[in-house]
Amino acid sequence: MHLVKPPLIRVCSETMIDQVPLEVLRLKSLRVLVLSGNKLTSLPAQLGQSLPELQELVLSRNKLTTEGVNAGRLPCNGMRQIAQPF
Amino acid sequence: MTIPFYLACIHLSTLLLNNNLLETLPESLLLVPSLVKLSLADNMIESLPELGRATWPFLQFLSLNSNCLKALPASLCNLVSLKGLSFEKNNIEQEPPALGSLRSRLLVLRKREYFLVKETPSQYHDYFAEMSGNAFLKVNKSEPYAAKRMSRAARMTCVPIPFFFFVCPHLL
Repeated sequence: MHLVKPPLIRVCSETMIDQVPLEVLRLKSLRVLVLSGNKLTSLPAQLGQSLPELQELVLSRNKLTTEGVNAGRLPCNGMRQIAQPF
Repeated sequence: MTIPFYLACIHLSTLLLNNNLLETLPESLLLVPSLVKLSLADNMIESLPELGRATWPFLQFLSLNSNCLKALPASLCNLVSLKGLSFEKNNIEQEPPALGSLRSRLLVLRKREYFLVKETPSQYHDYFAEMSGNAFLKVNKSEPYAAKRMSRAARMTCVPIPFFFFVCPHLL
């Protein structure tokens, strides 16, 4: 029986996609997602929920608008509630 | 109460949004306090909201190069972990007041060139602010000498201080 380790890094750059691929959102343990140089205009709403372990998100060189970024709830893990360093 | 740094690091820490079509800072970013590096360079952002101390307590590097910013919020000094700040090529006409309080932490750089500040402790060499290409850096009548010296320094090819002494140890 083969145990396939879930990928930690997924690179989908310069592929002309205009949406974050659904298969990427199934990679629950993803740490690094590179989507630079595409035609993304918005982020999927389930982004933060689907990728709770995400540490690096590279969205350089796309066509993202303010509303498009706001549409995707980024992974924040309730840090606001527990982080009170000051 | 302080929160251990690793707790912040295991969540989204790097977000690169450079070269997009952002016209304002997306509010959703204000809900990600774990950010350590944030690039918003090459967008069309005209202004930034006020930033609270709890907004990005771990943010170390913020790039705002090539936007349409007319000012920086004074609350930028609430970014208590900030090590690097760049806002080159914007429309900032007056020196941002936040720079005064950030100056103690950030070594002033222009076009990635260090000013040779004798009294700068060596541990500050990783700390910088980049701000060339803004109106407030053009010749300032009240301080003509300082302004002239800055533009000359910008033309010179300076090397980082540690590298200089690495190459020329006999000057130490």
